[in-house]
Amino acid sequence: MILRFFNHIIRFFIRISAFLSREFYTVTSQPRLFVILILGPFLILLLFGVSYQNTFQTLRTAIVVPEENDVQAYVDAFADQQIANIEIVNVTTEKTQALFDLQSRRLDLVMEVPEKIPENIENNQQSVFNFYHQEIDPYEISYVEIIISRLTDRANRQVLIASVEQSKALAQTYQTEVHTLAQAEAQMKEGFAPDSATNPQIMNPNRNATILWFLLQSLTAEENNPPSSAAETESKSAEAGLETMDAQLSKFVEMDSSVLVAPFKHDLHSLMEVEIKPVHFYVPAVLALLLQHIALSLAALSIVSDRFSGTMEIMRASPANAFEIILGKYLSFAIFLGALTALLFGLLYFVLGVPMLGNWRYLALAALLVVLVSLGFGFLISNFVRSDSQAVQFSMVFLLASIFFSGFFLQLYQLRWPAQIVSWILPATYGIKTLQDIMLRGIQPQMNLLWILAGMAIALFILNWVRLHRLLVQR
Amino acid sequence: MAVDSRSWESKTNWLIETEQLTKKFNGEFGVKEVSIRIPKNAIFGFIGPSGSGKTTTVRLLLGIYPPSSGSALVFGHQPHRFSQTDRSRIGYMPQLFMLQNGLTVWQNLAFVASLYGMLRHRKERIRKRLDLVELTGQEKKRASDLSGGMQRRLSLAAALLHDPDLIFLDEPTAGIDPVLRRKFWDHFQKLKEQGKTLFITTQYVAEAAYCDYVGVMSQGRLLMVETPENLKRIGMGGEIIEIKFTDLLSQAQVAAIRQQADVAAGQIQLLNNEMLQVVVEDASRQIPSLLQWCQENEISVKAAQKIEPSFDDVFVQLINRYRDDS
Repeated sequence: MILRFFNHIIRFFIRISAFLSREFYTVTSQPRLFVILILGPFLILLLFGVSYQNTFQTLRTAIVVPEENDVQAYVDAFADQQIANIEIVNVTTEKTQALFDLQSRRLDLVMEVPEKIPENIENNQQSVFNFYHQEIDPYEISYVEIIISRLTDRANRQVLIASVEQSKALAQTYQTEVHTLAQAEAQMKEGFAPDSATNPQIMNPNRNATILWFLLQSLTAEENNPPSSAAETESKSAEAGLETMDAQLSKFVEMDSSVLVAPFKHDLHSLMEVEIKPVHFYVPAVLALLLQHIALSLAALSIVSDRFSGTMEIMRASPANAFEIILGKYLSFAIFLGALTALLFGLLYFVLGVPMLGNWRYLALAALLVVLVSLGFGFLISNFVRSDSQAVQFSMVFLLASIFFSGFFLQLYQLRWPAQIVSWILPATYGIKTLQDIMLRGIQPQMNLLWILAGMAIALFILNWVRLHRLLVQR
Repeated sequence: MAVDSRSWESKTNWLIETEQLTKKFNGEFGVKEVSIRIPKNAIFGFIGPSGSGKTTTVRLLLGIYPPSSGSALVFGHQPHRFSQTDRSRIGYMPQLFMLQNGLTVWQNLAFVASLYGMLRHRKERIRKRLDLVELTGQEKKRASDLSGGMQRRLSLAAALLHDPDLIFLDEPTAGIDPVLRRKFWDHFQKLKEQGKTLFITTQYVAEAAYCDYVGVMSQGRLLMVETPENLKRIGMGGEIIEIKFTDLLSQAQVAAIRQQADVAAGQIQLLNNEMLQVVVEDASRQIPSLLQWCQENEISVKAAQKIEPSFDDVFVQLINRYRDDS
């Protein structure tokens, strides 16, 4: 009885091994396939890493100005400045020509300066810069929007700096008059009658200084002294006020205008221990997508080719049952893809220097689950399609869906919820998130994602098992 | 109470037993009301024109198709409910090459050996089967690089690899040269002597001679199951005697022979004016009486002998007769 049981168990494993050895022989008999599957993705990532420049397009820009001489001078000065990612190639009054050059791709951006800017400001109205572009790529349009926002900010800042500079000049005038007033105050204090004929500046402060004087007087009187104070006290107070005002005006004049108009700037700090280069960022996503695609394609072609080449008939007549066949296929592809992942990851880690900050065991577990779920989907396709070409088409549809919905290049929050359902069906979505966490952030992946993957893998295995069982007994 | 339908076991000694076995595909009959009984330790030949339902019958007996109606028992069990043990006792060579083109000869046989759970003496058995099908030396050749005949031989080796008790061979000799074909049949005889049962479909009607029983299929129906000898008799309507005359026969002499009470009407064929063939019930009894009649009628006979018709002729006769009847 026990011997019979063991005999049964041994035969079970031998039958499963039939598929392991078959896939091993199939793969090893096609060295080119192996090379394409490992070296292909590696070389693509290597080429990407070597060729990717983390730079942005410099926009060739023309500024169209209204035919007002005073504006032209400001714009010329503006155009002479170095602005990041902007190359002012032309300042012109010919809008039509500028737009023609934009259409002809000789320009990337046209900035139209509005008319009557001073009048608008006086009337409390904003003036509008009109920008024209011809981009079709949404990312490039976003980039242009960032650049024109920067350009507008720059123009506003220039105006602010000019205003501050004007205020400083005015402040310097006030300061001179404050000095004059202070001298007059001192002379008065010493009981010395001012000689209006010899020192007209002192005797006759200009209108601004007079306003300033009375303003100062009223302020000091209200703030520091009760209205009933004596004339002496008043005099001391005015003197102190003049000194304070002088000091504040000096301070204002000495201040950097650019700091005054933009007192804040930013600096960005990452908590990452290592520098994540752009190619490094894409590696986990590419790896997840690649694992999904290879697993899905191999599995999708597997049963369908057995069905249509007739091997399925041999299996039907043999003692191997649906459970053994599907388990054997899962195991053989999982082992093959495990070896493939290890080799590919070794190349990426040692040759490309891709960081691996997290736990290797989590990486292996996440990769295995992505492979198992992808195999499940592949076998499901294989169990239902009617030809090899249908299987290939389905796996291509899966790949296309993964590129758009897995977070490969669009973040999931950018998708509306029905599309996010598609995202969470794709194993690559889970793979990208978990592999990025493990490899680049060095943290434990979200375990709920791994549990969901495990659940999907089990559900798909059962589904494929039942379906294959039905296929083995034809109706 | 749960009833194991596989326990519907045959009480007879028939290894294969079918009753009104029918298979329909989209309302069309693939096989219609086939009833066969095949004993153990026999070679059962299954002949019939292309599309007559031979392969469908094989698939029904293998459990690949469940029957639409009727019943089949193999080893006393319903084929579509076979246990793994039942399946491991059966060898099957499909009509077309269905092994892996990308694998070598050896790898294909190793795959089949594993499918059947073979552990012991694998290499030895593979070598023996390769020897039998004359593929020794071709082990490392890919199946896709083999000729059609070699692929058939590889399929045969795979079917016999696990030493099954019951072997279904669907046209095993198609595309095989006559010398090797003869060798195959010798081996099939040896397998039978070892106690195996073989179910062989073939389009080479002459191969029916090697079988213990022959079933004739046409248009999904089993026309008959007979021994090869009976098949000839039924096909030709009796036994054939060929008579050669010394002189040319006149029309009157031929008419006189036709009127002979012992000769079945319409069963005389004049091959030329000095030779004719006569179909009779029993050649051994009829030859002396015919010779005597000729002597009495002064017709000089050079030679008279019983002729063995070819199975091709028998088969054509049978199929034509069935078509005429239907």
